[in-house]
Amino acid sequence: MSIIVNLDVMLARRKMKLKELSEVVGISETNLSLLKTGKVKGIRWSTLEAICETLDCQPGDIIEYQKNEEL
Amino acid sequence: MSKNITLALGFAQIFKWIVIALFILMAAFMFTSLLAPDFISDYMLEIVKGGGPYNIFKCEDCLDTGMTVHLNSLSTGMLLWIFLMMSLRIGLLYLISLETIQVLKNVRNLNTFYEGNIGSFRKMAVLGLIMAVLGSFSFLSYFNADQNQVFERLNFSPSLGAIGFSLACFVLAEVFKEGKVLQEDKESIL
Repeated sequence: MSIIVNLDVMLARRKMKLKELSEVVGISETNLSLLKTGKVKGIRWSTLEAICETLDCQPGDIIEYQKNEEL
Repeated sequence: MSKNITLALGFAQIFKWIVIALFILMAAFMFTSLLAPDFISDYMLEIVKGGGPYNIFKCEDCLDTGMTVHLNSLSTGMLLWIFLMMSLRIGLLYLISLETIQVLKNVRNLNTFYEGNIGSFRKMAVLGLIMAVLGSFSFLSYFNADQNQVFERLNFSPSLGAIGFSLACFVLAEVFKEGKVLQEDKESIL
């Protein structure tokens, strides 16, 4: 998939654990783990807003578009 | 929503018990007619068009017309055949009522777009189709005492109600299938 989730990078930068983020944002650790590994089909504005607020970052820091490179 | 479901479940349960009662009544009638043939001398059998196949009613002065015949002019084998056909139809109605109750229970438990419901609607559609086929054909072989002759009659009249029911169930199965896909999509959005 060409949309990359950089949640693990942002968590490492903020020195925060997934468990802490899940407690603040109010989303289960399992669901956040699915988001981190790119296994979800979409993300609500409210979820993105809560994550950005907690990690003090922009949506672009969490999700990124990468062009598929043809072989 | 909960009130409607409870009401629908109540109706479905009543329908199920009516079907059971109908079967017991029919079995009792048939066994009595086999054990005491005089009991059925006033009863007539009618071939029902479009949704039949058979209808039994009491009539003392009725004459055999081909579409309505006296029950005592039927052979034991024919009576058993009619009993079998009616039992099959009642059995199918019973299975349909069980599937309906199952679907309503799942909806009540908020498992509306659930794989089991799709399967239940498909089963109901197939049962409806079988009922349509069984209801469309009716065979009757009877002895006419006036003409001293055995008549055989095969009647075909499509059971539109059962076909419509089956079609509606197939459509509902597809709607629930689509609903399941949409629900899975909804659940995979964080």
